[in-house]
Amino acid sequence: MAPDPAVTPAPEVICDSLAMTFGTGSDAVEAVAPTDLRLHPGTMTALVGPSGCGKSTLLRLIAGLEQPSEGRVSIDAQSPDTIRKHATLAVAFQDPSLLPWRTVRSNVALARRLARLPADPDKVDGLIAQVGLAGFEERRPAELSGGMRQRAAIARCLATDPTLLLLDEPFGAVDELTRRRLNFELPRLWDAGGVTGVLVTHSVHEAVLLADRVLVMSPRPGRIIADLPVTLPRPRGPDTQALPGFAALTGEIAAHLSSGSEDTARQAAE
Amino acid sequence: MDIATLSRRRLLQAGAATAGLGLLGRPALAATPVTFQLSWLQSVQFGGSYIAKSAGYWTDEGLDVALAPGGPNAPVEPPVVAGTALMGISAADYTAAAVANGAPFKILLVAMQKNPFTIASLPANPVNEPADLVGKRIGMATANTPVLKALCDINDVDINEIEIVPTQYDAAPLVAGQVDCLLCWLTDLPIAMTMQGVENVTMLMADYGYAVHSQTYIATEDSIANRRAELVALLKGEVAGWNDYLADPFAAAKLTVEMFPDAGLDIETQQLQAVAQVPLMFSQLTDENGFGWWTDETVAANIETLALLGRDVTPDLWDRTILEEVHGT
Amino acid sequence: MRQLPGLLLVLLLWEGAARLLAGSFLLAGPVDVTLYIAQNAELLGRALAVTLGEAALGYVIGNAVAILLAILVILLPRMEALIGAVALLVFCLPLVATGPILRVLWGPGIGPQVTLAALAVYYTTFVTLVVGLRAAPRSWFDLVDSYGRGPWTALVTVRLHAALPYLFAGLQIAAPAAFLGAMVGEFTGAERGMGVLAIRAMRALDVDATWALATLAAGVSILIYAALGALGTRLFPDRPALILATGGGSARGGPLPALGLALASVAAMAVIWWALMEGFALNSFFAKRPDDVWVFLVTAPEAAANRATLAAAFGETLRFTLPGYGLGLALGAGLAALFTLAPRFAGAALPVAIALRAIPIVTTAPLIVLALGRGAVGTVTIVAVMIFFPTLVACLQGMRQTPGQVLDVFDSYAAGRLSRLALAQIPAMLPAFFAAARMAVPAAILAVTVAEWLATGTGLGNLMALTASTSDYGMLWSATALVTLTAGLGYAAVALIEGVVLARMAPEQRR
Repeated sequence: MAPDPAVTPAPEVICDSLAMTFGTGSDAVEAVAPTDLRLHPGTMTALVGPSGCGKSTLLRLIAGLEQPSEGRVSIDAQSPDTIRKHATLAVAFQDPSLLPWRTVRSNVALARRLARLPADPDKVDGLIAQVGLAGFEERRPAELSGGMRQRAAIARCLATDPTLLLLDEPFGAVDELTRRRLNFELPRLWDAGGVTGVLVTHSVHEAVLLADRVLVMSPRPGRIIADLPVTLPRPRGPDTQALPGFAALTGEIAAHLSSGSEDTARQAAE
Repeated sequence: MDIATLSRRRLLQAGAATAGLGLLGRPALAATPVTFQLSWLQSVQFGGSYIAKSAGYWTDEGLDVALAPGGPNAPVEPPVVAGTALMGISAADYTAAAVANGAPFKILLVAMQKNPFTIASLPANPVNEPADLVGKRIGMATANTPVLKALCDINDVDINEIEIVPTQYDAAPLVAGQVDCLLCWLTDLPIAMTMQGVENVTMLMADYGYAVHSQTYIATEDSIANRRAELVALLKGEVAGWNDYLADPFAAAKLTVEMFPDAGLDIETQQLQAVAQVPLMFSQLTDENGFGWWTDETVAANIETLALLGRDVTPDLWDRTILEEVHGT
Repeated sequence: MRQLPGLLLVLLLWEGAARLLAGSFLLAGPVDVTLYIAQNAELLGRALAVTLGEAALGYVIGNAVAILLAILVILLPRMEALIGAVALLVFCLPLVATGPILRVLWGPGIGPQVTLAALAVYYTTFVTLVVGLRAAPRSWFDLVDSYGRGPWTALVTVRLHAALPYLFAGLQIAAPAAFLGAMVGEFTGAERGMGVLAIRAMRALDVDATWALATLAAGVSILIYAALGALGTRLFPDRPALILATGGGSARGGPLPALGLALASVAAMAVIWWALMEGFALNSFFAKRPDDVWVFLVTAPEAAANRATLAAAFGETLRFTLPGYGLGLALGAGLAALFTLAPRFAGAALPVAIALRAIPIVTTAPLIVLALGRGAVGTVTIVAVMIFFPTLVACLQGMRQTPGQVLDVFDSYAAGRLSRLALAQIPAMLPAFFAAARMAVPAAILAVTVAEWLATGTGLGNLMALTASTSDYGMLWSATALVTLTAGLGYAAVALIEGVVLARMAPEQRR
């Protein structure tokens, strides 16, 4: 099911002085400070930071769901709007955002329809089984638990074989146990080399488990204060957490997070 | 001018000229409050009553009369039956219907000797007599079909030759050409058309044998038995008011407009209406016997027409004793 | 000021139509209307003050009753279905029948005007407020519970606050209805007011006056509606967009309990009917009791003929009500879809929609029938005009209810506007659409009976007016009962369909 990298290679994402300010005049709020960023093809990059630091905004800018106040995003030299039209991009949102009047199967199938791709029932059912929802194809979202809804949303997200995967706290509303399990299962769902990904999360554990690179953002206005590679071996599982490198990395990220907050507090006090 | 020397008539005119209301300012010390239910919105249709009120004819009789207006959704019979109004203005056919449905009404006075129902048409395609109705489209409430049927029966016209178009009660369907003629009152829609510059032809049904007393004053048997003095006083004022009206319909129109500044009345319309209803209300019969009078003959003619309308009534429906007391006969 | 071009367009079209129809006594253009208003400013000002005063008093009383009823329903949840059903039936009472009774009860003065205004507003406020009183999250009630406090504390500390934005939304919807109620009340015999002037103008073939009155009434209604809307937005910036979407009411619990509820509410209504008439000692000549109607329709020798007359009129009425109802709903929902696809168009067209709806039906019904004919087209149009605006507003709000993240999903695939509309916004609109469809049932029946009464001279509306003038009160009350029951049944039928559809399309609404 994985796309052939030769046919649809994972794209490179370049953010060039990308910045976002909401509102105007005295009401203006700077959500993302001017940011230069390059996401390497075929890698998963995690954005971590405190609540409200602008990491979700950054993701929405990359998806083209918001238009930046400054700078631009280019995905393999194309604009996000063009990429979205080619259906090679998929977003998983904080909220599962399933349509309540559709079954799990038809919610997943909807993605292909929206992306103007031919219907593929086998692929849809295969994805549903892969996220562990086999037997729940005909249920409606209201009949599922929060974790099951998140899985359905992820199945939907993968239904179009995206090469750019943008995950906005996809497990935000899930209990810790389920979340851990999904953290181990998730990477198996996409081909490590065929997809470029961005994962927004506030969980340091999750970032390290899933990503090839972790970017730490400061409180608002969000700016990248640390850029750390994750070299832990794949596939990663429960054992990964026992590796010494894991604890070191999570500790380092946590330190950056708290120093970022202190910096901001100091700036505010001055 | 010395007010004390003025005749009542002059006083009325002076009152009408200045303000028309409360001029006499007589404190109604022991005045008995009485409600008189009119059959439509305030207009010169009830001009005699306004004169009676503003000239103090009722105050003289010890009454404080409230003139309750009617309207499209204000039937007269319920307040009279309920006793919230001592007397109301109906018509012989409506009164007969109410009696058939159990209301204990009597007709005490006949204000319109001639029924005001009229066939109005435009000069280009006129209805001058019942025979002209053949082949015409007539706009009217379907409820009034018996009225048209009665007119046809009396004049040997086949009602099936007339196309009845249900319409609302206004002249627009005629002017807009949706119908050829209208069943309406002589005193409202034709005058509205005249005022708007639309020439029109009218045929009064009463001139073609349609004999139904209109603007009849009704009260319950119970009131006639137990509140007789008030009814006599009420009718005395009415008669005096309408006698003044006959003497000067324009003054009545003027008084009407002045008494009801919020009613949106137009003086010219009121004048036309005031004059138009005179021949319906006053006749040789009333000249000789007094306002509101009727005879056994007119009642017999009414009973005949009412029978054509499907209303079987007896002369008992009319009770002239109070009017006789008023006129001193 | 986004609506300025739309407004200008309306004025131009209006003036053009008036010029085209000059001499037909159908329509006066904005120029003549303005002239008439300027020349009769004092008279119109006094009339407006009178009618506004009546409407305001009725508005306050009607809404106060609605608030009390809603609180009662919250404190006695078991009585909710019954109270709701009876409140609906009272709301459905045809004003042709209630007007004269109110006049007898109140005597001269503004009593009937105020009462009809109150009756016109209380139901929408009641329904909206009951939703609002329930709108607080479960955890807030758990908090009250955890301190061992009862339903009263929950009401005062939680529900009333949570309900305020809803109440305000209900108050906004109710405002134009109060004005219409007061105007119709003046038909029962009033000395002054907009309704009095309107009757006079129509009879006098005075088109300028008729349209000046219609314009004033519409303008005032729009202003009040807009002012309350602006105030609401200021007071409750995050007030709920969806104010009409309540559960299917009587539809809950399947057809059998629904039948029981229907019977219980009809019985309750009959008892109230009987008790009111006895309590006020109303004369049975005009104030027929339920048993009188039974005799009239069932046991009297002429019962069969009476039933036949009633059935014939009923048939005529339904023939126009059903297509008008369908057309109004389709138009409302269709326009909402169009406005969602082309928001710029909405800015221009929404004022037209509001104006059409705010012009009082009592002045427009005869004119619409005159213009479009006495057949199906005229009456169907009146019904459609009466219900399309509330449907449009509800559907627009419903579409805005589509969760933002769902729209983000659609955006992330660069899905087109049409697929957004068809796959996300229309399904999300359904609860609001059904709420509007339910409320449109009494409105459609009101519209058709008023049109029949004032314009076409057919059907139940005409029968009721006619029987009032010929004192055939047995028939009048039979027709009244039939109209009320039909409205109630129509409402329940829509609620039943709603229950079935929403169970499929919006299961989260079912709680």
